[in-house]
Amino acid sequence: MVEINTIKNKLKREELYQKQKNAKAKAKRDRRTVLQKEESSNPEKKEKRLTENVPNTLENTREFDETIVEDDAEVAADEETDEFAQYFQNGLAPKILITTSKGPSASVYEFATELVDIFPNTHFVKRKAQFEMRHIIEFSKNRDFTDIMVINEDRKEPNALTLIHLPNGPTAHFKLSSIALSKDIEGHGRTSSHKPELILNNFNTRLGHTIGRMFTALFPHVPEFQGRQVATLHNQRDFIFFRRHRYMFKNAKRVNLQELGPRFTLKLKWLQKGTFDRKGEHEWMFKPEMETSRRRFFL
Amino acid sequence: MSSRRFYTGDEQGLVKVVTITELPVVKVKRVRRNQPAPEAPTKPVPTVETWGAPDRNKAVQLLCWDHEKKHLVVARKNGLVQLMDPKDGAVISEFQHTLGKDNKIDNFFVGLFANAESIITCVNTGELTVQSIQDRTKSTVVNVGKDICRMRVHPKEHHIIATAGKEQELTIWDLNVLCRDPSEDAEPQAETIKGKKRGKNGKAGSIKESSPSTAGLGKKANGTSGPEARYKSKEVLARGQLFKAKNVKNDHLDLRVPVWNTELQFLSHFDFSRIAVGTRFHQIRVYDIKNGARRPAVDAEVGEMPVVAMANGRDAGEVIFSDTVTNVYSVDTLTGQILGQYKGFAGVTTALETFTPFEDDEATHLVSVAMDRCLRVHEMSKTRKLLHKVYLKQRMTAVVVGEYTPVEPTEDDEEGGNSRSKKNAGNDDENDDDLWESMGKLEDKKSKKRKINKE
Repeated sequence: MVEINTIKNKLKREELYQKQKNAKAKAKRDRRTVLQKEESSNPEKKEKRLTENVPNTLENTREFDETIVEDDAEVAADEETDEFAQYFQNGLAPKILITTSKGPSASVYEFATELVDIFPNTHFVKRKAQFEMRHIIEFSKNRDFTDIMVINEDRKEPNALTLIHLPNGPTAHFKLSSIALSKDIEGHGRTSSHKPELILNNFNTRLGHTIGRMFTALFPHVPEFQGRQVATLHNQRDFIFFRRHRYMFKNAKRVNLQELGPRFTLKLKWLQKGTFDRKGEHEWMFKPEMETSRRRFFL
Repeated sequence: MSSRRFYTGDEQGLVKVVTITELPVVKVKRVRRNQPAPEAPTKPVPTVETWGAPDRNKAVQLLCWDHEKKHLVVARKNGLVQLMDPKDGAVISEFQHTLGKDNKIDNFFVGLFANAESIITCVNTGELTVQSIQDRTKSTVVNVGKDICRMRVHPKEHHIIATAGKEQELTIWDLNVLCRDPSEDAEPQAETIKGKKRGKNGKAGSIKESSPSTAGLGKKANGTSGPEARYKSKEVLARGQLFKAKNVKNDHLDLRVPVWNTELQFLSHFDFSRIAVGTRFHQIRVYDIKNGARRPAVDAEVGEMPVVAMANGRDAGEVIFSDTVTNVYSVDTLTGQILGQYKGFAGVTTALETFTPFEDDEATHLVSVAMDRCLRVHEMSKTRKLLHKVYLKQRMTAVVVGEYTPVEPTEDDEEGGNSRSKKNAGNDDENDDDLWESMGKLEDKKSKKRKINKE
């Protein structure tokens, strides 16, 4: 057989290449139809194939991390008395204040409106230029808020989210990206004011645990199931994806999902001990030098 | 294999003992090209032992050794100062201090020191306590000024202490004078003046007037001139003070520079003339007390964030400090320049200490604990390599370097080879015998060969 790339006539070369490509595709199609037939008659075979044939991904070839928490009594004791104990142990209902950076633009207000919609018992407060963060923290403590969210913007787009847990911290700062507001999502549903359910995925390390607990403490303890609304925070490769859906039972086995929106992605930049302080001590801080491998994750 | 122990304290009130086993130093032999490189021996896993039960009210704030490392002294958040046995963590004795609250914020320990007789503690309110270990009832409390951020005792001369803090300039105190009763103090003071300055009536009188305050300096600055002459300003040293620093000159707008010293360290073990101070405004200042200046000899701005912890470097010419954005720098105390940065930290380093890993070796290592729940050991060479990293599950607050266990001879027999030669280095006779034996064998072989050839 002639090697196609040695043929000098361009038309001929193209023709032969297309033929070869089609033949390959047909072979693949045939192989798959045969396999499908076999598997439909013999479902065990399909199961076997699916269990054996697991592709390598960055997540399942992740570098060993000793901080991953697995049934550790010491960590459990630590978490029992940490800064979120008021929520988890004493059942304090969350009350959230959302505000912006100084002189916000329209898109930040839009995003803030969406955030108010997501978290029950939130209050949006317009940021006045004369109040610094330390003042706002004091005011919020006096008014029994449990969390503050500050949306930061750059070039008139929201670009960062700072989450402050009150009264004793911690403070987490996230990069905010890939925002899609509800109105931009095709076929999105209308939200109701029911308390949503919460799904947290893959917050496995000690740092991830803290971040996961921080997010959990933003939602009320008992969701209102009749609302059938679910908020999801899915961590994959240190990016935290937020999605919100409504589930609809089609029949006893099948469930349909309708996205409610918004969508956005968070990436942890730093975690500070105590409430926000520019000169405060950082419990964890991302630095480019920590990015030694694509298979190393921190959450 | 030799091992080194570290004692750490954390926010949960646990004291952890980390034992890091060092590999025997293997000299790299030249490997032939086609031969596979010799396998690197696997790193031994550090062992961690935990003492105490988790309790946030008992959070460890400071750790130190007492005289000759017999007991570990632990200062806790609830005001408890405990003496622990470094072997099994049993509490030998404990002293309760009442810390109290200021503006809803708990007061905390800023300095801890112990020697054979007493424990010296300092709280951020400036309450300095000298507690006798043997006699529980015997304790002296003096005030060294409010908002103290760090108190340290000179490692050799235990009556010299230094304090610094928010709007508190670096001050050196003489404990012998400070703890003495003021009423007793007047008489010996008068005597010394009589002895030394008889005849110079005018001058002696002036000292007497300002009397007990100058008691401390009287000994040191004797002969030359009175403290008033030395310090041109009208500020007179308080009782027990040996030295009080003066704020740096106003800035280019002629505004006063705020003072907020966060950390200090005696640079020399032999005298207390050079002291390094780190500030919240990211300056490293070195005070030279001997040259008579009250302002710092070196004042350098390093980094961008407040200094958190500081440790002595390899010698008096270097200090190592950490800041709030997880950097750890090494700074030259003569020029104030950054010599280098230690890498690998993800959280704020809360405590640092340098030590010599092998007793006969000149190399020094740096041990640090950080808020990212890890203990790290760095080499203090040019490369500043991270040697060990141990995950300790808690936000760490304090670390001290424990004892060093040298190579055990019993283990070596089994290992043979490289370590065997080490063992033999100890006893020369055997070493020689071995040498001669091996040479004898060689000759035998050769002679055999010769015999064969001849045949």
